[in-house]
Amino acid sequence: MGYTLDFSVVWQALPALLWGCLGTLGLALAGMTLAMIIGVAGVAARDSKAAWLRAIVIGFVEIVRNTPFLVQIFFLFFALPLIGLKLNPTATAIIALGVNGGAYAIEIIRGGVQSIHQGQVEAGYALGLHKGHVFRFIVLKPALRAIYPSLTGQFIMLTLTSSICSAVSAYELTSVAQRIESDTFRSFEVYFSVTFLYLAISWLLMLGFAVISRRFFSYPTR
Amino acid sequence: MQDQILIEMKRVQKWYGGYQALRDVDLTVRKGEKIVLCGPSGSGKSTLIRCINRLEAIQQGSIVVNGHRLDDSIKAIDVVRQDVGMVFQSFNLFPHMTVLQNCMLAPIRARRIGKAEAEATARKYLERVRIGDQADKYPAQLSGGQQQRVAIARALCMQPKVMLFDEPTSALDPEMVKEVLDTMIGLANDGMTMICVTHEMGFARQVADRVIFMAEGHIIEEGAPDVFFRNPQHARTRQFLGEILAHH
Repeated sequence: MGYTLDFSVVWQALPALLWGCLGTLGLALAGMTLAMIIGVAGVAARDSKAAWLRAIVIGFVEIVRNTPFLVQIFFLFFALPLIGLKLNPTATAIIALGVNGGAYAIEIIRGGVQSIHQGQVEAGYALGLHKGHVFRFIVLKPALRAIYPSLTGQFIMLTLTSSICSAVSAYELTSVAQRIESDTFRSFEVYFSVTFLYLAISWLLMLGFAVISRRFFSYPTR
Repeated sequence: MQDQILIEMKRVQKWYGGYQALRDVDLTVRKGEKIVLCGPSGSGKSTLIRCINRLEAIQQGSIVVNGHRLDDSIKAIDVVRQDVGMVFQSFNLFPHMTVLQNCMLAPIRARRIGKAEAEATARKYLERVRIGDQADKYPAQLSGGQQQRVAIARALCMQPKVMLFDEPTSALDPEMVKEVLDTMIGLANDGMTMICVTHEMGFARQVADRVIFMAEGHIIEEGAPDVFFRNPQHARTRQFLGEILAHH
C-alpha cells in the first residue's frame, strides 16, 4: 500500500485529455443529430399506412434495444467490411451512437406523440392540412416538449456510451485516457480525472439542453 | 344563387363497430342557410357534421359538398376540407403558435398562398372577431371565449363556403358564451352558410333558418324555428325541448 498519488502526469497530459473531451463532444453531438433524425423519421414511419414500413421500424427498435452496444459497434466495425463496407473508427462510432440512440429516441418521441390530444390532429385535418403537415407543424413540437426531459436524459446516456467507442479506437476521452494510463501506469490519477471530465461534459450538455428548451419550448401552457 | 345546394347527404349510415350512430340521414343545405342541430347527447349530431368534412367516414349513402362527392380519394377529401371550416367544442388552437401563426398555418401550407397575404388575411379576420390586438399572444394567454373567437377566425382564414360548429359554447364559462354567440351571429348576418350543433336555443331562434332535432342517429323532425319551438310534432322533440328549455 505504498502508492503515492502523483497528479503531475495528469497535469502534463491535460492538453491531450481536453482534446479527448472535444472528441467525445464531437461524437456525442454528431450521434445525437443522427439519433434525432432517426427518431423523428422512425416515429413518422411507425405511423405509416404501409405495414412493411411499420414492421421495419418495430424490428429495428427491438433489435437495437435488446442487444449490447459493444456488439453493435463491433458488428459495424469488423463484420461490415467483410461485405465491402469499410468505415473509419470515427464514422463507425457516430453511426453506432446514432443508430443506438435513434432506437431509444423512437420509443421516447412516440410516447410524446401519443400524448398529443386527438383534437389537435383533427383541427389540422379540418383546416385542410395533410397528414405530413399535421405531424410536422402541429404534433411534433408539443410532442418533443412533452418528452424533452426523457430525450435529453437519453442523449446524456448516449454521450457517456461514447466511451465504449474506444473499443474500435475512435478518438475520444476514454481512448486518450487509456493511452496515457498505459504510458504512465497512473491508473487512479488518470481515471479519477477522467471521471470529472465526463461530469463536466454532462453538465455542459445539460446547460445546452436548457438553453434549447428556453429557446424553443417556452411557449406558455395553462 | 340563393338556391345553390352546398351540402347534400343522402341515406347516410354510419357505424362505430356494431353501434349505428347515423341512420338514414338525409340533409340538404343551400347556400346561405343557417341550420341548428340539436338533440340529446349520443343522438349523432356531432357525428353528422364530422362526416361532412370527413373527420368520420360513412359506410353507406352519399355526401356531396359544393359539387364534390366525398369518397375515399385524398383528392376529394382535400377539396371538401378546403371548402368547409370547423369550430370545435374544445377550441383546439395550436398551443405552440401565436394567435397569428395559428391563423396563417393552413393558408400557407394547404392553400399555398404567400406569407404576406396570409398575414393580411389573418389580421382581417382577427379584427372581425374583435381580437386583433391579441395577435401575438399564445392561446394559453387568452380566455376561453377569446380562444374560441380565434378558432373561428382561423377557420375563416381558409375562406370556407360552409362553417360547421360543434358545440362551440359548451366548454365556455357562462360569461363568455355571449361573445362567441355574438361572433357567430355576425357571421350569419354576413351570409355565411352554417351548421351549428348547439343547445343555445336563443341563438337558434335568432339566426336559424331551420332547426333539426336528432335522436338515436335519426333526424326526427325539422322546421323553421318559430314553428319548431311553438309546435313540435313529435313526442320525443317535445320531451327534449321541455328538458332543455326548463333551464333557460
